[in-house]
Amino acid sequence: MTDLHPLPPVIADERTTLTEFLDYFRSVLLRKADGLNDSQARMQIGVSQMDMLGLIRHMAGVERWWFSQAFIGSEEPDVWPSDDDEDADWHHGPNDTLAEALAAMHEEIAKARGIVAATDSLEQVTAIDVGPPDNPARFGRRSLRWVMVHMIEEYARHCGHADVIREAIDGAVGD
Amino acid sequence: MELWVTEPTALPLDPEQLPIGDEAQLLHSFLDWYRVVFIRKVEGLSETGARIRLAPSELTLLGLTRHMAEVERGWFRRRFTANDAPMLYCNDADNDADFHPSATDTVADAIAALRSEIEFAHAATRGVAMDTLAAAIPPNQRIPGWQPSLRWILIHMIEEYARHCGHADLLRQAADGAVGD
Repeated sequence: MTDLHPLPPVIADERTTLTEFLDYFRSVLLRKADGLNDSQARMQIGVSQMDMLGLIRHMAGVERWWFSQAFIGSEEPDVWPSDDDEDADWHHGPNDTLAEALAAMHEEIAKARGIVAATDSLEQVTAIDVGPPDNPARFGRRSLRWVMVHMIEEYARHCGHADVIREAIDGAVGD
Repeated sequence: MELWVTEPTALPLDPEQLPIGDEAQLLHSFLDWYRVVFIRKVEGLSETGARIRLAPSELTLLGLTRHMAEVERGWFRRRFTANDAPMLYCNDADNDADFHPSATDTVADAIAALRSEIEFAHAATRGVAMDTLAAAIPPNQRIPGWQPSLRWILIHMIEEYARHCGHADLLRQAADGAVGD
Protein backbone atom coordinates (compact mmCIF):
# COMPACT_ATOMS: atom_id res chain seq x y z
CA MET A 1 0.00 0.00 0.00
CA THR A 2 1.32 3.42 -0.94
CA ASP A 3 1.68 5.71 2.08
CA LEU A 4 -0.50 8.81 2.08
CA HIS A 5 1.87 11.79 2.01
CA PRO A 6 0.95 14.21 4.84
CA LEU A 7 -0.76 17.48 3.99
CA PRO A 8 1.52 20.50 4.38
CA PRO A 9 1.62 22.32 7.71
CA VAL A 10 -1.12 24.96 7.76
CA ILE A 11 1.45 27.66 8.49
CA ALA A 12 4.41 27.35 6.11
CA ASP A 13 6.23 29.26 3.40
CA GLU A 14 5.10 29.22 -0.22
CA ARG A 15 7.57 26.61 -1.49
CA THR A 16 6.87 24.16 1.33
CA THR A 17 3.13 24.55 0.91
CA LEU A 18 3.24 23.96 -2.86
CA THR A 19 5.65 21.02 -2.81
CA GLU A 20 3.83 19.26 0.02
CA PHE A 21 0.37 19.71 -1.53
CA LEU A 22 1.72 18.30 -4.80
CA ASP A 23 3.29 15.30 -3.06
CA TYR A 24 0.03 14.73 -1.21
CA PHE A 25 -1.95 14.42 -4.46
CA ARG A 26 0.73 12.31 -6.13
CA SER A 27 0.28 9.85 -3.28
CA VAL A 28 -3.53 9.98 -3.48
CA LEU A 29 -3.52 9.08 -7.17
CA LEU A 30 -1.00 6.26 -6.63
CA ARG A 31 -3.20 4.90 -3.84
CA LYS A 32 -6.19 4.90 -6.19
CA ALA A 33 -4.23 2.40 -8.33
CA ASP A 34 -3.01 0.28 -5.41
CA GLY A 35 -3.92 -3.40 -5.68
CA LEU A 36 -5.65 -3.24 -9.06
CA ASN A 37 -5.05 -5.94 -11.67
CA ASP A 38 -4.69 -5.11 -15.36
CA SER A 39 -8.32 -5.90 -16.03
CA GLN A 40 -9.58 -3.63 -13.23
CA ALA A 41 -7.21 -0.91 -14.46
CA ARG A 42 -9.15 -0.91 -17.74
CA MET A 43 -12.62 -0.53 -16.24
CA GLN A 44 -14.60 2.44 -17.55
CA ILE A 45 -17.64 4.10 -15.99
CA GLY A 46 -20.63 5.92 -17.46
CA VAL A 47 -19.89 7.13 -20.98
CA SER A 48 -16.32 8.26 -20.29
CA GLN A 49 -13.41 6.34 -21.82
CA MET A 50 -11.12 7.10 -18.89
CA ASP A 51 -9.63 4.27 -16.90
CA MET A 52 -7.03 3.98 -14.15
CA LEU A 53 -4.36 2.68 -16.54
CA GLY A 54 -4.86 5.71 -18.78
CA LEU A 55 -4.80 8.08 -15.80
CA ILE A 56 -1.50 6.71 -14.48
CA ARG A 57 0.10 6.77 -17.94
CA HIS A 58 -1.21 10.30 -18.45
CA MET A 59 0.29 11.62 -15.21
CA ALA A 60 3.67 10.00 -15.94
CA GLY A 61 3.66 11.91 -19.22
CA VAL A 62 2.47 15.14 -17.58
CA GLU A 63 5.26 14.99 -14.97
CA ARG A 64 7.88 14.55 -17.70
CA TRP A 65 6.36 17.27 -19.87
CA TRP A 66 6.19 20.03 -17.25
CA PHE A 67 9.31 19.39 -15.22
CA SER A 68 11.79 17.76 -17.63
CA GLN A 69 10.76 18.79 -21.13
CA ALA A 70 9.33 22.27 -20.41
CA PHE A 71 11.05 23.49 -17.24
CA ILE A 72 14.63 22.37 -17.83
CA GLY A 73 14.32 21.91 -21.60
CA SER A 74 15.25 18.24 -21.67
CA GLU A 75 15.06 16.73 -25.14
CA GLU A 76 14.07 13.27 -23.97
CA PRO A 77 11.11 11.82 -25.91
CA ASP A 78 7.56 11.60 -24.60
CA VAL A 79 6.96 8.83 -22.07
CA TRP A 80 4.44 7.18 -24.43
CA PRO A 81 5.74 8.23 -27.85
CA SER A 82 3.56 8.04 -30.94
CA ASP A 83 3.87 9.58 -34.37
CA ASP A 84 0.19 9.93 -35.01
CA ASP A 85 -1.68 9.96 -31.66
CA GLU A 86 -1.36 12.89 -29.27
CA ASP A 87 -3.40 10.96 -26.71
CA ALA A 88 -1.26 7.82 -26.79
CA ASP A 89 -1.10 7.94 -22.98
CA TRP A 90 -4.86 7.33 -22.78
CA HIS A 91 -4.91 4.89 -25.72
CA HIS A 92 -3.02 1.96 -24.26
CA GLY A 93 -2.77 -1.40 -26.00
CA PRO A 94 -3.74 -4.84 -24.73
CA ASN A 95 -0.15 -5.61 -23.73
CA ASP A 96 0.40 -2.44 -21.73
CA THR A 97 0.47 -3.02 -17.98
CA LEU A 98 -0.35 -1.03 -14.87
CA ALA A 99 2.98 -2.08 -13.35
CA GLU A 100 4.86 -0.50 -16.25
CA ALA A 101 2.77 2.68 -16.01
CA LEU A 102 3.33 2.96 -12.25
CA ALA A 103 7.07 2.44 -12.67
CA ALA A 104 7.15 5.26 -15.23
CA MET A 105 5.16 7.54 -12.94
CA HIS A 106 7.44 6.86 -9.95
CA GLU A 107 10.49 7.56 -12.10
CA GLU A 108 9.11 10.85 -13.41
CA ILE A 109 8.05 11.97 -9.91
CA ALA A 110 11.58 11.33 -8.60
CA LYS A 111 13.07 13.35 -11.45
CA ALA A 112 10.58 16.17 -10.96
CA ARG A 113 11.32 16.39 -7.23
CA GLY A 114 15.02 16.68 -8.01
CA ILE A 115 14.42 19.45 -10.54
CA VAL A 116 12.28 21.48 -8.13
CA ALA A 117 14.76 21.02 -5.27
CA ALA A 118 17.61 22.21 -7.49
CA THR A 119 15.76 25.39 -8.50
CA ASP A 120 16.36 28.35 -6.18
CA SER A 121 13.43 30.54 -7.12
CA LEU A 122 9.77 29.88 -7.82
CA GLU A 123 10.04 32.80 -10.26
CA GLN A 124 12.40 30.91 -12.58
CA VAL A 125 10.64 30.24 -15.88
CA THR A 126 10.42 27.25 -18.22
CA ALA A 127 13.28 26.76 -20.67
CA ILE A 128 10.85 26.73 -23.59
CA ASP A 129 7.66 28.48 -24.64
CA VAL A 130 4.55 26.42 -23.94
CA GLY A 131 0.85 26.69 -24.76
CA PRO A 132 -0.96 27.10 -28.08
CA PRO A 133 1.48 28.68 -30.58
CA ASP A 134 -1.39 30.46 -32.36
CA ASN A 135 -2.52 32.29 -29.22
CA PRO A 136 0.03 34.90 -28.07
CA ALA A 137 -1.87 35.52 -24.80
CA ARG A 138 -1.39 31.92 -23.74
CA PHE A 139 1.88 31.01 -25.46
CA GLY A 140 5.14 31.63 -23.64
CA ARG A 141 7.16 30.82 -20.53
CA ARG A 142 5.62 29.76 -17.21
CA SER A 143 7.17 30.33 -13.79
CA LEU A 144 7.87 27.36 -11.55
CA ARG A 145 5.22 28.81 -9.22
CA TRP A 146 2.68 28.55 -12.07
CA VAL A 147 3.75 25.00 -12.91
CA MET A 148 3.41 23.89 -9.27
CA VAL A 149 -0.10 25.33 -8.85
CA HIS A 150 -1.10 23.87 -12.20
CA MET A 151 0.22 20.42 -11.24
CA ILE A 152 -1.72 20.48 -7.95
CA GLU A 153 -5.02 21.19 -9.72
CA GLU A 154 -4.19 18.75 -12.54
CA TYR A 155 -3.61 15.96 -10.04
CA ALA A 156 -6.63 16.92 -7.93
CA ARG A 157 -8.98 16.92 -10.92
CA HIS A 158 -7.73 13.54 -12.07
CA CYS A 159 -8.02 12.25 -8.49
CA GLY A 160 -11.69 13.24 -8.79
CA HIS A 161 -11.98 11.04 -11.87
CA ALA A 162 -10.13 8.26 -10.06
CA ASP A 163 -12.46 8.57 -7.04
CA VAL A 164 -15.50 7.65 -9.10
CA ILE A 165 -13.73 4.98 -11.17
CA ARG A 166 -12.13 3.25 -8.17
CA GLU A 167 -15.37 3.22 -6.20
CA ALA A 168 -17.03 1.50 -9.16
CA ILE A 169 -14.23 -1.08 -9.37
CA ASP A 170 -14.24 -2.30 -5.77
CA GLY A 171 -16.02 0.21 -3.54
CA ALA A 172 -12.81 1.79 -2.23
CA VAL A 173 -13.22 5.50 -1.38
CA GLY A 174 -11.27 8.30 0.29
CA ASP A 175 -7.64 9.36 0.10
CA MET B 1 -38.26 19.19 -16.55
CA GLU B 2 -37.61 22.82 -17.43
CA LEU B 3 -34.15 23.63 -18.72
CA TRP B 4 -32.30 26.79 -17.91
CA VAL B 5 -32.30 29.13 -20.83
CA THR B 6 -29.59 31.48 -19.60
CA GLU B 7 -26.21 31.72 -21.31
CA PRO B 8 -23.49 29.82 -19.46
CA THR B 9 -21.28 31.89 -17.18
CA ALA B 10 -18.26 33.20 -19.08
CA LEU B 11 -14.90 31.82 -18.05
CA PRO B 12 -12.78 34.35 -16.15
CA LEU B 13 -9.19 35.25 -17.03
CA ASP B 14 -7.38 32.06 -17.96
CA PRO B 15 -4.53 31.51 -15.46
CA GLU B 16 -2.37 30.85 -18.53
CA GLN B 17 -2.51 34.60 -19.08
CA LEU B 18 -0.70 35.15 -15.76
CA PRO B 19 2.27 32.87 -16.49
CA ILE B 20 4.65 34.86 -14.30
CA GLY B 21 2.17 36.24 -11.76
CA ASP B 22 2.99 36.74 -8.09
CA GLU B 23 1.72 34.32 -5.47
CA ALA B 24 -1.52 36.15 -4.63
CA GLN B 25 -2.40 36.83 -8.28
CA LEU B 26 -1.87 33.22 -9.26
CA LEU B 27 -3.75 31.64 -6.37
CA HIS B 28 -6.77 33.95 -6.73
CA SER B 29 -6.72 33.44 -10.49
CA PHE B 30 -6.64 29.62 -10.35
CA LEU B 31 -9.34 29.56 -7.67
CA ASP B 32 -11.64 31.89 -9.62
CA TRP B 33 -11.06 29.81 -12.73
CA TYR B 34 -12.18 26.64 -10.98
CA ARG B 35 -15.15 28.32 -9.32
CA VAL B 36 -16.50 29.15 -12.77
CA VAL B 37 -15.52 25.82 -14.34
CA PHE B 38 -17.52 24.15 -11.58
CA ILE B 39 -20.59 26.38 -12.02
CA ARG B 40 -20.48 25.76 -15.79
CA LYS B 41 -20.61 22.00 -15.13
CA VAL B 42 -24.02 22.51 -13.48
CA GLU B 43 -25.54 25.24 -15.62
CA GLY B 44 -28.10 24.17 -18.18
CA LEU B 45 -28.99 20.90 -16.49
CA SER B 46 -32.52 19.85 -15.63
CA GLU B 47 -33.33 18.95 -12.02
CA THR B 48 -33.24 15.34 -13.20
CA GLY B 49 -29.84 15.73 -14.84
CA ALA B 50 -28.49 17.34 -11.68
CA ARG B 51 -29.50 14.21 -9.75
CA ILE B 52 -27.86 11.63 -12.04
CA ARG B 53 -25.51 9.24 -10.19
CA LEU B 54 -22.70 6.97 -11.30
CA ALA B 55 -23.45 4.11 -8.95
CA PRO B 56 -22.23 3.05 -6.51
CA SER B 57 -21.08 6.64 -5.91
CA GLU B 58 -23.77 8.81 -4.26
CA LEU B 59 -22.41 12.02 -5.76
CA THR B 60 -24.74 14.21 -7.82
CA LEU B 61 -24.12 17.60 -9.42
CA LEU B 62 -26.79 19.14 -7.19
CA GLY B 63 -25.18 17.64 -4.09
CA LEU B 64 -21.76 18.85 -5.21
CA THR B 65 -23.05 22.39 -5.78
CA ARG B 66 -24.54 22.50 -2.27
CA HIS B 67 -21.29 21.05 -0.93
CA MET B 68 -19.17 23.76 -2.56
CA ALA B 69 -21.44 26.47 -1.12
CA GLU B 70 -21.01 24.88 2.32
CA VAL B 71 -17.24 24.60 1.84
CA GLU B 72 -16.87 28.24 0.74
CA ARG B 73 -18.94 29.31 3.72
CA GLY B 74 -16.99 27.10 6.11
CA TRP B 75 -13.58 28.33 5.02
CA PHE B 76 -14.15 31.99 4.34
CA ARG B 77 -17.15 33.06 6.42
CA ARG B 78 -16.94 30.75 9.42
CA ARG B 79 -13.18 30.20 9.73
CA PHE B 80 -11.24 32.95 7.96
CA THR B 81 -13.37 35.86 9.19
CA ALA B 82 -14.74 34.23 12.37
CA ASN B 83 -18.31 35.00 11.36
CA ASP B 84 -20.64 32.77 13.40
CA ALA B 85 -23.10 32.17 10.56
CA PRO B 86 -24.68 28.71 10.81
CA MET B 87 -23.97 26.06 8.22
CA LEU B 88 -26.20 26.16 5.15
CA TYR B 89 -27.20 22.52 4.95
CA CYS B 90 -25.23 20.33 7.34
CA ASN B 91 -26.41 19.67 10.87
CA ASP B 92 -25.84 17.32 13.78
CA ALA B 93 -28.36 14.83 12.43
CA ASP B 94 -26.69 14.67 9.00
CA ASN B 95 -23.16 15.94 8.69
CA ASP B 96 -23.37 15.37 4.92
CA ALA B 97 -26.75 17.00 4.40
CA ASP B 98 -25.24 19.12 1.64
CA PHE B 99 -24.86 15.92 -0.41
CA HIS B 100 -28.43 14.86 0.38
CA PRO B 101 -30.85 17.27 -1.32
CA SER B 102 -34.58 16.60 -1.05
CA ALA B 103 -36.91 16.25 -4.03
CA THR B 104 -37.93 19.89 -3.75
CA ASP B 105 -34.44 21.41 -3.52
CA THR B 106 -33.41 23.15 -6.75
CA VAL B 107 -30.25 23.73 -8.75
CA ALA B 108 -31.07 27.43 -9.00
CA ASP B 109 -31.16 27.80 -5.21
CA ALA B 110 -27.90 25.90 -4.82
CA ILE B 111 -26.09 28.01 -7.42
CA ALA B 112 -27.44 31.21 -5.86
CA ALA B 113 -26.11 30.09 -2.47
CA LEU B 114 -22.74 29.23 -4.00
CA ARG B 115 -22.48 32.60 -5.76
CA SER B 116 -23.34 34.40 -2.54
CA GLU B 117 -20.58 32.60 -0.63
CA ILE B 118 -18.06 33.27 -3.43
CA GLU B 119 -18.93 36.96 -3.27
CA PHE B 120 -18.29 36.97 0.46
CA ALA B 121 -14.97 35.14 -0.02
CA HIS B 122 -13.82 37.68 -2.60
CA ALA B 123 -14.52 40.58 -0.26
CA ALA B 124 -12.82 38.82 2.65
CA THR B 125 -9.60 37.85 0.87
CA ARG B 126 -8.76 40.39 -1.84
CA GLY B 127 -5.58 42.27 -0.97
CA VAL B 128 -5.04 40.21 2.19
CA ALA B 129 -1.48 38.92 2.82
CA MET B 130 -0.97 35.20 2.23
CA ASP B 131 0.52 34.66 5.71
CA THR B 132 -2.66 35.96 7.38
CA LEU B 133 -4.11 33.33 9.69
CA ALA B 134 -7.75 32.33 9.88
CA ALA B 135 -9.40 34.39 12.62
CA ALA B 136 -11.53 31.64 14.04
CA ILE B 137 -11.14 28.15 15.29
CA PRO B 138 -14.67 26.74 15.22
CA PRO B 139 -15.62 24.74 18.31
CA ASN B 140 -16.09 21.64 16.18
CA GLN B 141 -12.57 21.82 14.75
CA ARG B 142 -11.09 18.34 14.67
CA ILE B 143 -7.55 19.48 15.51
CA PRO B 144 -7.26 21.83 18.53
CA GLY B 145 -5.38 25.03 17.75
CA TRP B 146 -5.48 24.40 14.01
CA GLN B 147 -5.34 27.80 12.37
CA PRO B 148 -4.38 27.80 8.68
CA SER B 149 -2.85 30.64 6.69
CA LEU B 150 -4.70 32.20 3.75
CA ARG B 151 -2.03 30.60 1.52
CA TRP B 152 -2.98 27.13 2.75
CA ILE B 153 -6.71 27.83 2.48
CA LEU B 154 -6.50 29.12 -1.10
CA ILE B 155 -4.41 26.17 -2.34
CA HIS B 156 -6.71 23.80 -0.51
CA MET B 157 -9.73 25.42 -2.17
CA ILE B 158 -8.11 25.12 -5.61
CA GLU B 159 -7.58 21.38 -5.15
CA GLU B 160 -11.00 20.96 -3.51
CA TYR B 161 -12.69 22.54 -6.52
CA ALA B 162 -10.44 20.70 -8.98
CA ARG B 163 -11.17 17.32 -7.43
CA HIS B 164 -14.91 17.95 -7.36
CA CYS B 165 -14.68 19.20 -10.97
CA GLY B 166 -13.23 15.76 -11.70
CA HIS B 167 -16.37 14.22 -10.22
CA ALA B 168 -18.48 16.75 -12.11
CA ASP B 169 -16.69 15.93 -15.40
CA LEU B 170 -17.92 12.34 -15.30
CA LEU B 171 -21.42 13.21 -14.02
CA ARG B 172 -22.00 15.91 -16.62
CA GLN B 173 -20.71 13.72 -19.44
CA ALA B 174 -23.12 11.02 -18.30
CA ALA B 175 -26.02 13.51 -18.09
CA ASP B 176 -25.76 15.07 -21.55
CA GLY B 177 -22.38 14.30 -23.09
CA ALA B 178 -20.87 17.72 -22.32
CA VAL B 179 -17.12 17.70 -21.59
CA GLY B 180 -14.33 20.24 -21.05
CA ASP B 181 -14.12 23.47 -19.05
